[in-house]
Amino acid sequence: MAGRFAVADVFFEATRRLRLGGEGPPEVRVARGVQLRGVAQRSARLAWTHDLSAAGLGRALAAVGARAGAAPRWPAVRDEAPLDAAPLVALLRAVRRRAGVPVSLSILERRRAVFRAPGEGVAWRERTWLLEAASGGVSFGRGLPVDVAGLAAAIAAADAPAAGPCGRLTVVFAPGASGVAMHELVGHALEADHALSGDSAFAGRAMGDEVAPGELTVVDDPDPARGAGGLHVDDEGCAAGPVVLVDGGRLAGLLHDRVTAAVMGGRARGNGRRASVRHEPAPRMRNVTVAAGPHDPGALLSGIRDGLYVERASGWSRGGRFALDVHAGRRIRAGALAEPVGGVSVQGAVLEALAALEGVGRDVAPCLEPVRCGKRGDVLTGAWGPTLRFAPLEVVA
Amino acid sequence: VTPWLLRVERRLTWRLEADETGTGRQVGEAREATLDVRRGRRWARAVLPADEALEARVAAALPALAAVASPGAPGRWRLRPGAAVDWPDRVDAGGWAKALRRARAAVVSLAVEIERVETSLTDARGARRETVRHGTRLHVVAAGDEGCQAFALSLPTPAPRVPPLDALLRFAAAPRRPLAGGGPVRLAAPALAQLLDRGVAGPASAALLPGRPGERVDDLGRPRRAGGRFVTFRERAAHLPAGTLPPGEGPCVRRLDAIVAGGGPIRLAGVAEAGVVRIAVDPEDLRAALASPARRGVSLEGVPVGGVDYFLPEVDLGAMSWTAW
Repeated sequence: MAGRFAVADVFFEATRRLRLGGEGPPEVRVARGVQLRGVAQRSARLAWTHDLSAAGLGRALAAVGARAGAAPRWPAVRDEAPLDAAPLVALLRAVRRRAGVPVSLSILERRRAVFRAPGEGVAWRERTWLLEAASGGVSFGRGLPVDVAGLAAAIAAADAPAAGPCGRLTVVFAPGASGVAMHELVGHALEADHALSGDSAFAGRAMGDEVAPGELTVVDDPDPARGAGGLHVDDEGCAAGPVVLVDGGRLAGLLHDRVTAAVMGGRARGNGRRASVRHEPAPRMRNVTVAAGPHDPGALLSGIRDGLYVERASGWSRGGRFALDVHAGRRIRAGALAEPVGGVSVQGAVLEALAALEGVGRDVAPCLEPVRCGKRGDVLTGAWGPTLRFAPLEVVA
Repeated sequence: VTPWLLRVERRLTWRLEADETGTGRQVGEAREATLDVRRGRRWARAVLPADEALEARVAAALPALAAVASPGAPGRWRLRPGAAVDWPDRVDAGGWAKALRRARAAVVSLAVEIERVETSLTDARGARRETVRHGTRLHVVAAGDEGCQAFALSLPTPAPRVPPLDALLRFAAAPRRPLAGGGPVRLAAPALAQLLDRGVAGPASAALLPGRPGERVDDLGRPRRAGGRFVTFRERAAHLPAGTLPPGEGPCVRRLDAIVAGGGPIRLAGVAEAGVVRIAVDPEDLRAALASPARRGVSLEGVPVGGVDYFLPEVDLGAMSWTAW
């Protein structure tokens, strides 16, 4: 395939998923499929199929205008340690008992392989688990967490948000939640496909331009130990490496897949992710990590007469605007955390919000739950960050 | 005999797209089998590849699923014989270019998606039912003239043919200004579908009828009933009957960009014909609006959201105040 196209690959995926608990029935899901892709200068062709018979693969090949060649040799599989289901089921029971609401456990095994040319293949196997309540994912990992009480408390808190304050308020993001905020404020705007289409908050800016105070450094980190978005190799077969997005308040890098890297002359560092065999690859985040700043987190609350402290949030950003829906947080009164609040949304223009950053704490921590990113099919990403304080932002009901 | 229901689906999709950078073509073929097994009021599910080994896979899965079944109420699975639902498979794209020229829209990209779904249902008694369905969806991305971004709409059709585009493209090209004010507000079908799909409409969802307006039976061959729920597999369509409400004044919210619900009013932010607005809707008011034929529009629009095809009219939410985005 590679000869006719600037970028071409064959992607194979096989998944097994077991889901227990929650409100639905126990479910086992087995799937496998293949995707063929060819991108030329003015045209792109993509075909995927679950039918791996010779006839099914023949139809897919014809759809992209390619012919079958010699079967590629299957590469050695880069494997992860198997997951033991028994302690995970025990964890599910413990969390469910403490939280008092339905919680489900999913155990996922995914085998993937990418072939760019005959003899040039990469294959790997990932295993992850995910605990979910109706309010969303609550924990994930490749090992076992130890904080059952913390997980249960997070689920219980997520179920009962009280109405929050509105208006222009000083907003402080808790450690972990700050990573989610930067996913929306910085991450999406620096995905190279958005930059190419002009649908980026930083349209018209250049690398090196100052967009935030110098305390802010944001990195997209692929380390699997740092969150749900971690990976060694992306879904285009590119080795993963960290990408500095904002360095000392200045734009520092874009997230590329192979196509945008070829078009813009960039370097693909493992951000080409496919949500499934049905989805074409696109530049996506892995684990957005905000570097530690100089401030004591307690000091960042001082002097705030009335503000909002965000502990759990999810959101979107598009064309220079963003919204972060607050699922759990606290009111800040007279420089101290007060009653729990939720059900509000922090909204505004990305550039204005970044300029309003007042302080970065030194207390970097992970966001406990995976960040579901739904740009082109759902992928899981992670978030890390310290306490972040912003000058008054618009908070709406 | 352990009751079981096997649903085998083959879904073929074609997608053609064009924008200023070039053209794209995608072809997809999904083959999936869903096996539900019931043991008394306990049940379990397996989703398996629908390949040549399906029979062996099902035979292996049946006892395993029965062993791990959990409490629930999967409903009755008796298949009834019935003629296959078969929609014609053709696409009429002849009017596109003309419609685009007439609308003079700032269209950024166009895509058309055609889907064919072949479904086969078999139960433990050996009863069988098969259906074939087709659909066409059109995606338009167009730019507004106030520095607003490109956005997308989708419009499905019951048969695979391209719908009239003029009204759609006029909306796509309309200016987007922040609006504030008071008066009657309407929700257009795409926004209503988004709201219903998020499951935040509470009792308002009870007004939905399952199924396409013209479709009298579900995949199991059962007559459709108001408020009926199919629990053995996901509903693929839901509809709300047309009413008598004529087109009127006030903002009509076409698409929602944010939905926030937390027990009280549902807070919405969306795009109306002439601008971008935020409103708060009481779930009880919404339920009343959906239940009243006088507050529902005279025609239905099909909208695919979250794997369900919604066929909905415009709905009058009544007088309220709205604020600018």
